[in-house]
Amino acid sequence: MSLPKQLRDTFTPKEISFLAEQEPIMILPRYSMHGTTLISAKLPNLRALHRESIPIWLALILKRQDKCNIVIPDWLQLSYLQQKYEDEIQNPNKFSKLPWHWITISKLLLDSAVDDFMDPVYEIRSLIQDLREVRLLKARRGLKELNEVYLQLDGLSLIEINEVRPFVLKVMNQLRKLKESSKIGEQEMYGDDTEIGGDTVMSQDVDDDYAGVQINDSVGINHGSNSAGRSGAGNSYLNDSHTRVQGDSMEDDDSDSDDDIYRKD
Amino acid sequence: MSYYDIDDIIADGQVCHGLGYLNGQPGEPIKENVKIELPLWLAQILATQLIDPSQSSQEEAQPILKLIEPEFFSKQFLNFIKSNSYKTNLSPYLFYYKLVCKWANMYNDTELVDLISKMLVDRASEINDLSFKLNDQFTGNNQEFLNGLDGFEKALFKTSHASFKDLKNWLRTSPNSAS
Repeated sequence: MSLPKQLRDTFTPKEISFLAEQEPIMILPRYSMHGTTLISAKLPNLRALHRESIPIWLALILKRQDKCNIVIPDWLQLSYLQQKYEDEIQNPNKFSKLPWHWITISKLLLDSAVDDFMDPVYEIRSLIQDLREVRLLKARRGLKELNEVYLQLDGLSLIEINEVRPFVLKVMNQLRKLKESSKIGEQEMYGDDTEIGGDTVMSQDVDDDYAGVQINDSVGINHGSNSAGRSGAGNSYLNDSHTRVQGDSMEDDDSDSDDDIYRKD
Repeated sequence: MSYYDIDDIIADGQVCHGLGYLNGQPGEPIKENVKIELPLWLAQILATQLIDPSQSSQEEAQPILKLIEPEFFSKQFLNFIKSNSYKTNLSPYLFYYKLVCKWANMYNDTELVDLISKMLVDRASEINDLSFKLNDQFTGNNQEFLNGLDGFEKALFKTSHASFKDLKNWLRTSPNSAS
């Protein structure tokens, strides 16, 4: 593929924003109008001042035309965010639960629907910024405990995961390669031991054959441990995020395109 | 040059003399017990290749050459890493981590792998921290640390920095500026 490497591996913030726009949100129409069926969404019949749930992108279009007000979701209220901020401070090892697209949606709404907020917007802005920084700090502290098998990212939102994804993938891949290089060695030693028991004459050829078989073995074992890590990932509500990172890293294994680009540099 | 050409196969068995060009003395044979520098791929093959005992004076089969520990895997260097992984200067080695892989593979050296993995995690988290900051990279220790990165770590810094910067730029865009 001719796409740049960073576009293939990860989302750009704009793409995530696009994904977030599919989320439903409540609106308060100002006028009554007939609904239509669109390719991806259905606009229901709107009656003035009757709440309807429609995708954010549609809501933003209507908002821009002054045809509706957006009902700000509960989690974007000042008191709720303050609560979350307290939680973050009090649990230094845990991320508090926030929606999967909280940064993106809050940006979209703060950009286009300022007049719909009940609370002062600047306070919400700065609170979101604070929350983001606290969580980022935690995430980065967590990266000090990286290992080659798995990384638990419970509670992080998509865009926060996306931010550290290229870094994490690269380091975990390198760690895996390091570990693997000595694992093959261990198995070779193991192979030799059994060899001595059964057959005292060891020729170079036999040795080579064993090495070949063992390389296959070790790959199998490694995949096993990977999937074990995945299933043991805990049953948190954002388990999704965890598998996502791992899935990507395994994709990266197959095509070693990483190295190719690296050499060209 | 064909796979099925028997002459060709026999020609491969021709004993070669005068490998001195490997040591900067073309035409001369390499004497015993001489230190030479070889690329890793060649050294690896030669170190595992055994000399037929019937052709040499020794009773047991010996490998053609013995590898001497390179400077960057010496005890001293590894102790240095152990004491402070941030101060280690890897910039002379473009592919330090790859070298470690190959070396560990040859010697089944799990200890080395554990040490280097730990170093990688330490250094990587420092790289991540620095790549997040916009202007703190060029002061004192940070500058020194960033100058001592190996090729992989430099690439890591670059990608990490790019992804942080992407998000920051996006958060700063206003809806009215044409996207």
